Order: sequence, then structure tokens, then C-alpha cells
Amino acid sequence: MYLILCSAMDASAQWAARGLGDLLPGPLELVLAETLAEGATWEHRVEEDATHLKVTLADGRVLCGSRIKGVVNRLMAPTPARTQWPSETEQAYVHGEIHAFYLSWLHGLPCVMINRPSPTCLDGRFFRVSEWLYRATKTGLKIAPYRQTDDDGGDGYSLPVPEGAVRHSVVVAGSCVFPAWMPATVKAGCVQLAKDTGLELMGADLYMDEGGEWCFAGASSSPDLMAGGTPLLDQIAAMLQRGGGR
Amino acid sequence: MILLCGIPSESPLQMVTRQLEAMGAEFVFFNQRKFDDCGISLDVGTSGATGELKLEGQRYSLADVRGSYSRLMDDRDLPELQEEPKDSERRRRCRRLHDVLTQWMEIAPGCVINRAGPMASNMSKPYQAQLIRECGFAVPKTLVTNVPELVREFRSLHGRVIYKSMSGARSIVQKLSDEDEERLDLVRHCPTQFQAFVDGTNVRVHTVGEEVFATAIQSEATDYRYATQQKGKAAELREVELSDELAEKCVGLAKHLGLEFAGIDLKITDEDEVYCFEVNPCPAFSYYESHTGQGISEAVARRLAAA
Repeated sequence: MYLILCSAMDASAQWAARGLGDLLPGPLELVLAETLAEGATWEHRVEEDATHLKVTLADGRVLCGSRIKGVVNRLMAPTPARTQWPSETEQAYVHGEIHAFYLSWLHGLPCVMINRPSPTCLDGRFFRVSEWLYRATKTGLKIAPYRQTDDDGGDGYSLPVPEGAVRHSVVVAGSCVFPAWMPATVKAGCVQLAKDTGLELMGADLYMDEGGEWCFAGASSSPDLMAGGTPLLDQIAAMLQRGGGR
Repeated sequence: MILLCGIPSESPLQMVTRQLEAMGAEFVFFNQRKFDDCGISLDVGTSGATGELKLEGQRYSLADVRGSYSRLMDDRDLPELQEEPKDSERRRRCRRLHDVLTQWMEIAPGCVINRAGPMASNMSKPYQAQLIRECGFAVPKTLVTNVPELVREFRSLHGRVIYKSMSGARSIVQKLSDEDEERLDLVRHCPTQFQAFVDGTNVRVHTVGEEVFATAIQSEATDYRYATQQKGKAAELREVELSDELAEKCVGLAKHLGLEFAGIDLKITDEDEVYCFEVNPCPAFSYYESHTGQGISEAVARRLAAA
């Protein structure tokens, strides 16, 4: 069994689920975050030598960790259940518990997973703009100088491209970059950045500066898969079948 | 130069400050409570991360900071902001100051005790347990579930079972009692973590780089931090020496988690099996040092000064 985990709002992942169904040798289940949040029963064990997971969804489907061959993980965060908690403090406590739980069971799945979770982001890695840029420079990607201070209104989460510049998004999947027409040095930098950050799947934003050079402007572990089209799906299917889980 | 961050009167920071003074090391303090007089600018370019820190009127280049020790409290809870409206500019500027400082620490060269990314493994105990297991430690059998029947089964299998929070939220470890079983239906609302109780001696190990400080804790309480509440008698602490192999394993675990300084909670059984429960990435070591006289603060200061 292969899984695609995503939220009901993630049209891109649901598009991928429709396309990947025909490319994989076994059944593919689309499991929404909202389905996991309501009425599922959970059994997650951390033993001395192994980690186990069994989830029975409200619709009757059973997900057993040992039977899952590959996962496309687009769960950015758990969807809160509709339970009403008596106070904001309790609500926050439960939210923290659920997040901790999801991180553990996702990490414990032994199969290949695109992307593996981290404590800061369930579907991969989360960095602020400053860290993405810093890491990008280490791979040889060009960046424009960036400044953040306690006085400015910048949030550190998004980097605006210069006025008039057009933002281009690419998707890195393993060692391939989609679309493929980007210069080789830029593609190599993006692939290295994904590798350095432990991401199998990464979206990168680039723009061309006044001197005609490509500049890095940010990245994400949940890129728009539709931008990569069918060739990206072929690559994801190949990565899922290649194995290489933990 | 060394940068200390937090509240100067807080015990661990106070101890490290004294040690830095004693060794004549050059250091500056970002006192959170004086945030109005502090500022920061962070520049990222091809030459890396640079910038400037303003502390109570003095300006310092971030490039000169080679070692940082951060015990920042949540700035939103600072007493100076208590009367401040939620969306006030003063509050927002304070938030940005802490935010940019933390961002810089993530990418700063040198020794940072500890960076936020590696510290985050402590946000999920069952997740961290899996990382701990990868380093060769035994971890207690753990069940996370929202099915009461599975909890009953787990208890009847293991006898003594404890429950505690999964997240970084501080909770008091409790034994699952017959009374608790009567309200087990509540777990249907939120998956809850249960663990087989492990009998043995609690040992807290502090690692500072390659240095190791082990403290054995004698207490009848399920959670020795709350020994007086749970058993009416405070825990007794004494310095112990670990075998070279175990000390190396602890150093390896801290490295695996990316921590310069760690507080590792072990339990050693009568059969000499070593269980590891948790790794605290921001250990309040002063409790252990003040009971045993171990030189933990000195080791932290040395680590910072050597960077």
C-alpha cells in the first residue's frame, strides 16, 4: 500500500494522487488530515527494537505501518478535531500533544517517505528566510543581500522579489529539477540545497536579477506538484518504488 | 566574545556568569528585561551571516561573538509587558528582537548552547525516544493510543505503568492507578502516552561537549522532581562515575541530537540495563550542581570560552 497524506485544501497533492494511482504497482490510498482527526482509533508503540502503527479510520480503512510501502507526506500540521476544550490553555496543550504524536508515528514509519517529518515541520523542514538564504549561499546559489532588524516590519517568513522581477518556481524531486530548462548550475544548487536540508521533495523560488543572473528567493517542503506535471509524477513514482526507507 | 541571553538572576545563567568572570573571559549579557534598550540587525549575504547587536546602549558586531549561551524565557511573558496591550508596537518590537536574535543563533558560527533546531527534538518524547534508541540505549515500552481497552491490556501486561505528556509541556509523571482506570474513557478525546515502569536508579547525566557529569538520584517518588509533593521527602543527589562506555554513549547521543549541552535522564536497573527516558536540551543544571558541587557551570563556561 502507498499513501498520500495531505489536507482537504491541498489540491496539488490530490491531483498527484489521481496521477500516481496508475504509476504504482500497489494500491494508493489518499488519506486526508481531516479524516485522521475525526473518529480514527490509534495504536502507536515504541518498543525496544521497533516502532509500530495501526490506525483504523472512521470509514473502516486500516493503515498498518508494516504494510505501507511508501508515503508522500504533505501533512503540514495535524487538523484539530472538533472537540471543544474548556479553555484556550487546554486547547493549546492538546494541540501540542497531537503534534508530538504525529511527529512520532510519521517518523516511525519504516518505508520510504517523501518528505520525512522534522520537529519543526511535519512534512519536511521549516526554516525562516534568513536560514534558507544562508543555506542557499553554501550551495553556490546566488542571493540578494538580506537584512532583518528589530525595527523593520519584515516577518522573516517571506522574501519579496524586487519590483519588476518575475518569480519562477521549480520543484526538486531527488536529483531531478522540474521544469528542466533552468541553467545547470542553478539546478545543481537547488538539488544540493534539498540534499543538505534532508528534503526529497522541495520547491524553490527564483527570479532573474538586473544582471541576468538567477537569484534564490526562498523554498518550501510542500511545493505545487502540478507545476512539475507528469514528468514529476513519474519521478515521484520511481522514488517511491526505489525504496530506501529507514 | 561570549554572549549570554536571558535573565541574569536565573540560577544557571548566574552560575555560568560567575565562572566566566573567574576565568576573565570577555562576555556580554542580553538581559531580556531591558529589551527596550537593546536592538539587532542581521545581514545575510555571500559572506555569511553578519550584523550588529545593541545592548543597553553599547554596539557589538555579531561577527565577534564566538560563543552563545541562551536561556531565553518566552518574551511574551516578560513582567515588563504585562500591562502592555496585545498588539502594541512595544510588544511587537520585543518579539521581533527575540525572533531575529534566535534566527541569528541558528546560523551563527561558533558554539551556540543550544540552537533551536536541534532543541526541538524534545517537543515530542516518543519521537525523541526513537532517536535515543538509534544511539544504543534501551527505551521503555511505550503505547500511545486513544483506545481504553489497549491501555488496560498494556497495564495488565506490564503491571506498573506510568503516563506523561508527549509534547514539551511540563507534566508530572504519574503511575496509572485503579482510579485512573475508571476515567480511561477520556483518552478517546486525545491519544495519550503510557509507559511500562522501569525500576532502578535515576541518573541525570549532563554532557558539555565531551565532558560528562553524572548524578544519581535517590527517591521513592515516581517523578523525583516532585519528591516532596509525592512522597513528603526531597530527593537525595550524589555524584557518580559512569563507565567509559556509557559516558561515550551519552556524549554520542548529545552529538546525534546536535546538542552542545544536554541533560540526559537515565535509569539503571539492578541488572545494569541502561534505559534513557529523555534528553533535555536546556537543562536547569543548577539543581544538580548546588547539591553535588559538580563543575557543570565551569564546563559550560570553558566550552563557550574555547569557541
